[in-house]
Amino acid sequence: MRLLVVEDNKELAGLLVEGLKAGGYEADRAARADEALHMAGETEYVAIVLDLGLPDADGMSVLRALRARLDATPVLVLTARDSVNNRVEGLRAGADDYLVKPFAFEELLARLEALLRRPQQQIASLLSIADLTLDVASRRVHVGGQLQTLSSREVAVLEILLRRKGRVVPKRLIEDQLFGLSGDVSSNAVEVYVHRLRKQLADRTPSIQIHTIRGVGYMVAETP
Amino acid sequence: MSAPALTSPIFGSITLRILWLHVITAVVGAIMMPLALYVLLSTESEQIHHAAMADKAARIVKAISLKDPRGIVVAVEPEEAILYLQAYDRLAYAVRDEGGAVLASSRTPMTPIFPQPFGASDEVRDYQTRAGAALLSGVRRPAEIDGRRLWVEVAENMSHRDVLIDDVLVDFIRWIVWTSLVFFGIILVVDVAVVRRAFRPVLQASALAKQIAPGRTDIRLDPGGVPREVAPLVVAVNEAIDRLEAGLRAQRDFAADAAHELRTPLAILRARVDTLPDKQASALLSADVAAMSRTVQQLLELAEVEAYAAAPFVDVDLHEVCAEVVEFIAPLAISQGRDISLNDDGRKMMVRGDPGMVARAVRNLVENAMKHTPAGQPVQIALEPPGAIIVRDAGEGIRPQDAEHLFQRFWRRDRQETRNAGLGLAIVKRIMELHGGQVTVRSPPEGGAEFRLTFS
Repeated sequence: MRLLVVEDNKELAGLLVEGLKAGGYEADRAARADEALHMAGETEYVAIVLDLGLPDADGMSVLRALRARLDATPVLVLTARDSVNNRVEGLRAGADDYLVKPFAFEELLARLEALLRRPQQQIASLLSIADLTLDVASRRVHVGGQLQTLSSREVAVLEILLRRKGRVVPKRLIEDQLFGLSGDVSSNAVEVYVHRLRKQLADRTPSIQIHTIRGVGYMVAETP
Repeated sequence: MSAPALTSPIFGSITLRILWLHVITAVVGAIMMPLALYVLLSTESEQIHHAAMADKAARIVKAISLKDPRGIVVAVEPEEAILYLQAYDRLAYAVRDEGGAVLASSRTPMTPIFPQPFGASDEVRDYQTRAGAALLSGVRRPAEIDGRRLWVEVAENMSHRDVLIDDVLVDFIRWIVWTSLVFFGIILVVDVAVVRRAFRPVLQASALAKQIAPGRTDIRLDPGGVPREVAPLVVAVNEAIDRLEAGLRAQRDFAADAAHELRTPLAILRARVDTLPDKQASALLSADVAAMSRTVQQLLELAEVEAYAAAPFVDVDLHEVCAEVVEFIAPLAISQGRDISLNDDGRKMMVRGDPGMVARAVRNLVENAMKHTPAGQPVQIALEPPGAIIVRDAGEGIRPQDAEHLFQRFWRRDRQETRNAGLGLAIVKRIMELHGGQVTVRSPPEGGAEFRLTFS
């Protein structure tokens, strides 16, 4: 797993390369835009970590040049410029993710992992949180190794929440996924399913919580 | 940028100024023109009258012949004599001797026509007199017939129906007055239209100039359409915007440069701290770096909203913005054991604005509320029609003496508190100013603080 780190600051680049090595990646370093494009052309990298502030050109132009020659290598943009406009511009130019300096190294590793796994993630067959696992294909849910009996709707809700664990899932999204676009949804149908699911889980394990964010949606998280 | 005080509201407007001068011109013209015509025409008609009377007097003189030592005979041509018939009552003559006695006359009884005394000169002179309601106007002239001095008087009854000249004159003048009034009126209307048309590009340019703001420095006025007299002003305004834009760009560039210069060292520091072998020290230092990063972040946010330059405003759904902010912050709130909720019916609430900026304002308010709410207590976000967002916390509330300082930059209740730069609410305030709205705060009786973003 070889990465290309494009960063002109020697110290930060060095730390990045070291940290990535500790995280299990091989990493090459480029300090200039032309160098980066040249190296990306020579070697098949699994992903590129790209700083936007380069001495010879804007990092965005590197990104555009890559995409222009149909190089689809995932690109994670590092930037010191955090504004909505910059973010939109970056994503439009073909960036896969965006990280604002300064960042926690763990976050960089997590984002890279997500980037590299992304295509498979959609078909991940086993979702898990704490001591719970959900086999997407067989619709079976285990808690602490024990098979649970949940209704198909409850499993569906659990799956949606688990796919975005630790993040808020808007209620509308659950409605859309459960009932499609039929629109024939009673206003509290989702609430009822979530309530039942929460009760079922509460009876079986104390380490998982389904939070209600009133007016917005739900979130599943491990009990701290 | 209010308009300078004008001494007179009328002379502040070029259109009104032109109109006013024009009205004066029109009124003076409408009075003077018929007056001048009247004077001209009546002088002319008097001369014609005088010439006719003098001519008639001369004929009478020719027709006089002496009879006896005392009497005279006036033998007027028959067709002329008809005019002097008393029944016709238009013309009359009298021939008088030096003593004033009437020797001959067309009138019976024979009376003098003009009571005025005889003059010394030999001129043909004009006289007027009244006979009842009638105005008699004519001439008196001397005549020497065979060494005898006589006075001949001829007069016309000006009130007679066959004397048309005065009636015509009056009618004519009346007609002229009305025509000239209509004529000047039409010119006035045309003038107003012409002036308005000439100033339309100026008004259009003004409307365009109104849109110029820190976020819209791309606008330039078109000097082509405006009158040549105004063009230099338009060009000067454009140049002023050029300079303004350059200044704003320099400020924005500075913010971006500062971002880079501060953030890269912070990123290095962060990476070093993360890789420290001593996990406890690493965690403490990490929290310090995070606090510093946050301050830098807020400084840059503030710099960015101060030099705000973004796409023009669009329709923004406040419900959607709030839902996104809550979605974004909820995981953090929950991990800290705080309850966060959005209290609304899910309906759209549209305002004009920059969605990114509105989200930033809401996020800053919610983060502020989280900071002041004890664990286990709720932070509530609510929407209120037609366009207000309310963020309520369960903290200790706002002391009245703090309320006015709250939105100042770098203001903190506790100066010892170093993890908070005191910029969040200043950012919120600035964003609301950019949207023509406002942020207010109050301490509701049930406790905590309640911030309200009101969009116009």
